[in-house]
Amino acid sequence: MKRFLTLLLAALLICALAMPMVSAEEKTQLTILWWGSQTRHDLTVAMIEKFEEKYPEIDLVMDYSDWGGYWTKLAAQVAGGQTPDIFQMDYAYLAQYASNSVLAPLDEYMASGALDVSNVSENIIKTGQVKGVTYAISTGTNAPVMLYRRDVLNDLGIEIPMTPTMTEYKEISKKVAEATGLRSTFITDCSADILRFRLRNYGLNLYNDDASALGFDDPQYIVDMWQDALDAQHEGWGMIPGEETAATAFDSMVNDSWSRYQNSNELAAYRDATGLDISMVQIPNLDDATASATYLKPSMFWCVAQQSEKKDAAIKFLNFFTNDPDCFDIIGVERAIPISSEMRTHVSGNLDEVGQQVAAFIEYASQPGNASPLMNPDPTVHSQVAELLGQYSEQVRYEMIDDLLGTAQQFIEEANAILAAAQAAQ
Amino acid sequence: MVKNAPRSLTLRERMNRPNVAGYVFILPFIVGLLVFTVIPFFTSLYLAFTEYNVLSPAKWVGLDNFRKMFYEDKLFWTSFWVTFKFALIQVPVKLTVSLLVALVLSRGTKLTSYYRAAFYIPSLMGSSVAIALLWKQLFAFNGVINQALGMLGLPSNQRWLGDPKTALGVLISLGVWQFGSSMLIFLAAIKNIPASFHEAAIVDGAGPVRRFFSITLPMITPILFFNLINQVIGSFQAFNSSYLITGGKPLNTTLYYGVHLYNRAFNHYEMGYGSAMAWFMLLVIAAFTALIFRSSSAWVYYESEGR
Repeated sequence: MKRFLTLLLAALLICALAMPMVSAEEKTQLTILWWGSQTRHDLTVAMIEKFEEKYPEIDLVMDYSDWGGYWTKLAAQVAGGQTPDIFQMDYAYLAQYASNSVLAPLDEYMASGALDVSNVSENIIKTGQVKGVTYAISTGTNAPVMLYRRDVLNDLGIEIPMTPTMTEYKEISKKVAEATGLRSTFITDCSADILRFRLRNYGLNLYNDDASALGFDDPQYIVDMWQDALDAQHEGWGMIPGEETAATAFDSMVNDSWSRYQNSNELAAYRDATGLDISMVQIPNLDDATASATYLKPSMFWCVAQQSEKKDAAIKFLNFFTNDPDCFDIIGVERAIPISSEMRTHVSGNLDEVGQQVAAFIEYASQPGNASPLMNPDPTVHSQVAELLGQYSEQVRYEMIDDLLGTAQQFIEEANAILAAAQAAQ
Repeated sequence: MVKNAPRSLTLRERMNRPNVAGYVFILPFIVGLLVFTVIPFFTSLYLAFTEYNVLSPAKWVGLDNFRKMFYEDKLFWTSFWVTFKFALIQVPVKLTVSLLVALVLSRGTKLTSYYRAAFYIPSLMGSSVAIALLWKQLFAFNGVINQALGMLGLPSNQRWLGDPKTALGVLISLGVWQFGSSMLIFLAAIKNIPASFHEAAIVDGAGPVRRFFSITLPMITPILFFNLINQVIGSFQAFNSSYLITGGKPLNTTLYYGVHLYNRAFNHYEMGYGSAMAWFMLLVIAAFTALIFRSSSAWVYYESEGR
């Protein structure tokens, strides 16, 4: 009796294990991974369900994460041979993932029409290319912006121009700080991104064309940035290091500061998370700027894994996202302005007030003179260079350094050494 | 059939030998140990000599990682000294506090069990993300601590987490707050001391302080030794509080070794370098543990050995 029971249970177990394998034959299962805020998660889940309705033979297993943990998660999955079939990619990491053969080239699918890019401009397709091969398709265009508390400015009766100069920004910051105590974290940021904006104002870039060295050699650019931050701290309208109280980026706009640098497609998320009337203008340009700091960039990309065995099905999803009106009825412009001109037209009819504001902003930034060309993708060691600058900037902000020029020079030498070593290792 | 002739065992007889059942029961644990501890342990030893960015196969570079660690990475030594300082301050403070509280609770009043539970709970929850964020809000510039100080009329504008002089102290306080688990162990040890010792000493006229130093302390040295080793190892491996609360700022005064390792390995995609750092820390902890073990013969008194 006991023997019989054992055999019966074993048989049942084997059947239970075999069942999923049989039923899975009928549907193609794809894994998909993205990052975002809760707003984006809700919209994306709804959009994927719509996709599964239209393509019932494809089943998407969804996974998502916040920005901070996304890259660790993705790297771990790649290392474990479990690269998601479809995943989001950022401009900053595109070169690294492409050069490590993680991404599948999309050129053949675009040529055959499986991924229809007939309504997408060549420039936008180029942004997803590394060394001439297209590895990623942009989800939308966005631009860096200065988010600000419109409610605070309205209460104080202050107007901020769409393209502020640094002087105008400083004046407004001083008034806001005097009246409300909200300070500026933009002026004290001193990170690699902020340095990049300032360099772009002079037509320069953070890195040179092949990322073998920095794109500038005059330490004065860095010194100016540090001096602006220190002046702001001394005059009381710049955030003093250690006095930030915010636990998250959204919080910082509630309690700490009245303005913040972000990407244009984040406007909706910030408004939802804080419940405040937040709006946006362009990044302030330095007074003696010769070019705009703003650039138009792909907000993010969709990629297909090179090791995926279901690339055709994955391409169907990419095609759906790029060209299907149903997708944009749900997503709107949350992942930024659609790259297909057809979709842009379709979407502009349905946008809510915030979406229209974002679309109008991108239109404005697309006009000649309001933006300058996009920089090349950052090299892999950008994180090290950025951390190095962050270390020095922190010391400057804590007023532990007297010789700003010497320190800036030191940073340039060390950063160039890092870039040269990375270049040599390739 | 010849009796008592040796023959090989059947499968059933093999399975029924005395220890086999035991091995079968611990097999899941052994498999887990192998897969999640032993194999990664030796893999990281291999990786420590390679350059591995996770997305591509590892490249052998020999001792290059170690050279970079000792000679080129400024933050390596910074993080090492920060962790050392953290351990140096936290361990004695935590042990002292737990011992004192255990002494008080060993008197055994009616409320003892409630106090025991109350003190133990922080050590259960302490290393969680929620508590770390709570601590961050408590010590924020306009947080509860500053507001409470303000209400008492004391200076309340200290930037606890922003001031390089106090940030590490805040993290140490979070560690010390979790003294409950060591306290419980001390409590058990103190209760184990035969009452006859204390009675004899009282008869001879010894006061409470003398009794503590001559009877209680020597008798609990084995437990003290155990707690000391645990705390030292734990302090060197600290990660959560710094990563969640300060991220190593301000000015790297709270940059634990573990956090720096995480930055290099996961943010800069240098897993080989991270493995090298991990193995160095292993050696350091092993050295300290060996040191404590060596010294133990001088100050640890085991009743059974009747020294």
